[in-house]
Amino acid sequence: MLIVVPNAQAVKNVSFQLLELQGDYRYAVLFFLSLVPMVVGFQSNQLRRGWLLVGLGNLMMILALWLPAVAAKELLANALDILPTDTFVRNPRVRPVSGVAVGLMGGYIVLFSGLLDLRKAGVSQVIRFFAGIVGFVGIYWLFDSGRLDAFSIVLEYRVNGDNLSNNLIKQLTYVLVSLITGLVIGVGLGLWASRQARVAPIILYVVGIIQTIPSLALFGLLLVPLSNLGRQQIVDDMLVYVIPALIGVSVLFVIVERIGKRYLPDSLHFGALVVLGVGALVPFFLSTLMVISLLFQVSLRMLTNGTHSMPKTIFLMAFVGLFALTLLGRRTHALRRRPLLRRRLRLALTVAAFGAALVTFALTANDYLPTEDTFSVWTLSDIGIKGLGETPSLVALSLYSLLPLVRNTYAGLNNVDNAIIDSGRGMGMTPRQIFFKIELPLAFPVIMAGVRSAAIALVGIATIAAVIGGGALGEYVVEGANRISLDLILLGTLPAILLAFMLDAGLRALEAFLTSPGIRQQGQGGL
Amino acid sequence: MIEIRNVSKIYPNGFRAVDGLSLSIPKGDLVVFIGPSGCGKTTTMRMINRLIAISTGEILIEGRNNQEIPAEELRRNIGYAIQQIGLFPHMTVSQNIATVPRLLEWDEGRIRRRVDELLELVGLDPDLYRDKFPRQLSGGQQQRVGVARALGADPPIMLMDEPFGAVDPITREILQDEFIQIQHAVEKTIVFVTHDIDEAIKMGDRIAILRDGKLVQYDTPETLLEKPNGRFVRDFVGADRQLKRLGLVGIRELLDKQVVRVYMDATAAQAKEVMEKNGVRSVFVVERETDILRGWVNKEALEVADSLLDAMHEAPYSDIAVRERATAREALSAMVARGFRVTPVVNREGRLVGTIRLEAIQELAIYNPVVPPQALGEATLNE
Ligand SMILES: Nc1ncnc2c1ncn2[C@@H]1O[C@H](COP(=O)(O)OP(=O)(O)OP(=O)(O)O)[C@@H](O)[C@H]1O
Ligand SMILES: [Mg+2]
Repeated sequence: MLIVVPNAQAVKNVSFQLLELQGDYRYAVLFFLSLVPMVVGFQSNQLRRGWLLVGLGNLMMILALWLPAVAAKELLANALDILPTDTFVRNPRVRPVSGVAVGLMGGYIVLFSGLLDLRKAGVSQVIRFFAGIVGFVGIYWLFDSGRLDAFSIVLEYRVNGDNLSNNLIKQLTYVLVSLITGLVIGVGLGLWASRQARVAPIILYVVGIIQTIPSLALFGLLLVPLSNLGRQQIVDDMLVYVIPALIGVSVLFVIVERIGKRYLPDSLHFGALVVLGVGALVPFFLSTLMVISLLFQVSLRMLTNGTHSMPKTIFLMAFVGLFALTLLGRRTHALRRRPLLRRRLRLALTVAAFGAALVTFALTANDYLPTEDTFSVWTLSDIGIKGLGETPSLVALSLYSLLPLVRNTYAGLNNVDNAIIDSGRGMGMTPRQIFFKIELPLAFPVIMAGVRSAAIALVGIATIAAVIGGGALGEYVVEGANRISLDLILLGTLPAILLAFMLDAGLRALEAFLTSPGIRQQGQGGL
Repeated sequence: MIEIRNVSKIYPNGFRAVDGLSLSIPKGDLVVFIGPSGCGKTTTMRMINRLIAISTGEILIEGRNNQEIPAEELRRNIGYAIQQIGLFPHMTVSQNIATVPRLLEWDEGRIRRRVDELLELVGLDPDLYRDKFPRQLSGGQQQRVGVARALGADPPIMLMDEPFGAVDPITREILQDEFIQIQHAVEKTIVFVTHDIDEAIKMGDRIAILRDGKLVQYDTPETLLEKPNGRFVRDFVGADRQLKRLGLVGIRELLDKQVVRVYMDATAAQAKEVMEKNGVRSVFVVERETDILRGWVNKEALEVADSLLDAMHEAPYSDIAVRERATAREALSAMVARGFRVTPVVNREGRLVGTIRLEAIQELAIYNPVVPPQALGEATLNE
């Protein structure tokens, strides 16, 4: 069904069924096409059936957009005749509704089942990957060539979307920076919880509580302290206080942990640890705040304004190389025979990617950070710590990412079979070797599941940052809600959904890449 | 040499899992710990490599108190196959086996050769199993990999907690034999836990019977079977301990090498003559030249038959004879099964080398102390 809408805000509209369009039976094709998969289902050769379904799925996805788009264009050409005479017509658009969505989804399902068949038939990952993206490439081509311009959301993109890619990157930066922060803190807490049976319930409880605070309330709570904090001078007020405090507390902590265990009575030792832990909260929070704020600002600049393109290119290429290597998979024969070569190649690529990322980061940071003479007068607000905007959003996002990360790290580490750790100890592995060679690899899939669910949730939550001026995709949503413009809201939402999908797929690929086949679940991995 | 001196393990709840245990394990010996479930076998083992802290007492390894040796160093020199196998599921078989060599930073070529060697030793084809993951193996195969892993860096001391529990009887037998051979070849000091008294008797140079954390008896298998000190041990080794003792005696010393025999190509008359001359009612029939056992013939059959071949009871030697390497117990079992009072004994090619009489075994079981004098002397060790 297509709905012809006269302008961005209009509630009044006229709707059409594709098949109703006078004297035009082209669209019936789509209907019949959707029946074919049922017939194909009887084909018992898995390989042939897989290819048929993949072809059909791709075709259905493309046609589900293309055919209505053609009709939409024709409808728009006569927009003035179709719409009631008293409406205000500006940028008339056609809103594709249920039918189109169902068609797309149907196509995707057919495609997906075809890909599953192909996997079972042993078709290589690379071929499956390319077979799987044909439809998406086709859709992109339709979009790029202007064939979808009659659709409301595309029109909205052409009108308001100048910033879409920047906003998308900002959204991604939000997610990544808060995910990294959450990862460092969350995995740390999860590790601590799994080591100390006594603190485990406390940590899990606190993290659970954080999750229940509504994000708007959190923003409100952070507003005053953060804006006060923003006025502090970096050098005089912060560095002089925070860093010594952090170092002091950490040293004390280690001393109490190591020595107290032996000489203090058990309850006193535990009590001292708790007191120190609480005492460390403030300096820890402040330093984390500075780090993530800086990390965000610099990463955002690094990803959006491309002054340092050389390292960035290397970074991207290495990343693509890494990804390609993942796709080639462990099964690739030539590489399998030469595990050392593969390991070296992988190592080189990883080093290149990280090296280039670091160089880019340093160069960008160098441009962004104050020079020596201005350094002393900078306040925290100069690195982005303010009551409104990005930093409170980051704090909130990082906090929200904690629950899945802490819980999964804890569960993952706690569920490693004791007998396995025991045999490691029995063979003379040090606690560190046991952690890195046994516990971490075994808990890894569980931790990664936490990372994925955190990432997906964060993509959604990050849209709310716009409410306090944090920008990103949420801008369209907030703006659209203010102007009651459905299309504008969609312009913010659809890319967010896509981003979540791609992050999930990327993290799955990473997980598959890093997880030992010995513990990999069957049927894991996306496309 | 491992010396356990008055060692106890007292858990915080006051439970004494091991209670004043003292025993010494001579270098190069295989000592079996056996006893009811929960008697402290695993606990004792784990105090040797310090996986469990000793409450009181001390354990000396080659004269050094094990508390003075850094825990990791100690453990890298003591192979340990844990009761639950505990293979690393994320590592391949070869990575698992290579664990300790890697910790000791052997070079890769040496590690690879060692892994293959060990896989062959435990009866797994390296080419087939090297790159498999534990989840792709059966329980018994996993257990064998566990043993290979414990042997990884060729440690002088091994702790093996029920290492063959999940292996089928035939493979188990092979592994036991292999293991005895390894041990004799390289003089490893081995502590071996099992629940199978037959395995204990077969494998152990000495057996320690534990109960409720205390040592009940510590002796050679022969002494243990001959002179169980008390009801508990007697019950534990089983009512058939005399039979089991026979299992420790080779038949060579009981062998009667003067065997009356006739050749296949002899006539009935010649056969009768042989019997009369030796005053026997039946004789074994062997091939000329090779002496391979082909069957037997008795007097009554010869009376009515035309030729020796007609009268002869023909059967392959594997069906009617025992091998010369068999134990007295096996010979007895064969006689009982076939209803013989005398069983022929053949060598590997099937050549008749002698006979064993039922009475000889009986005498051995009842009258002759099987225990060699020097073992009797050592039996006072645990007093
Ligand atoms: N942490 C603990 N606290 C209290 N008692 C314990 C603890 N750990 C083990 N025990 C007890 O110590 C005893 C000895 O255990 P151990 O594992 O040594 O037995 P085992 O002889 O190896 O038995 P099995 O043949 O079943 O393996 C058991 O009764 C067990 O319940
Ligand atoms: Mg045990």
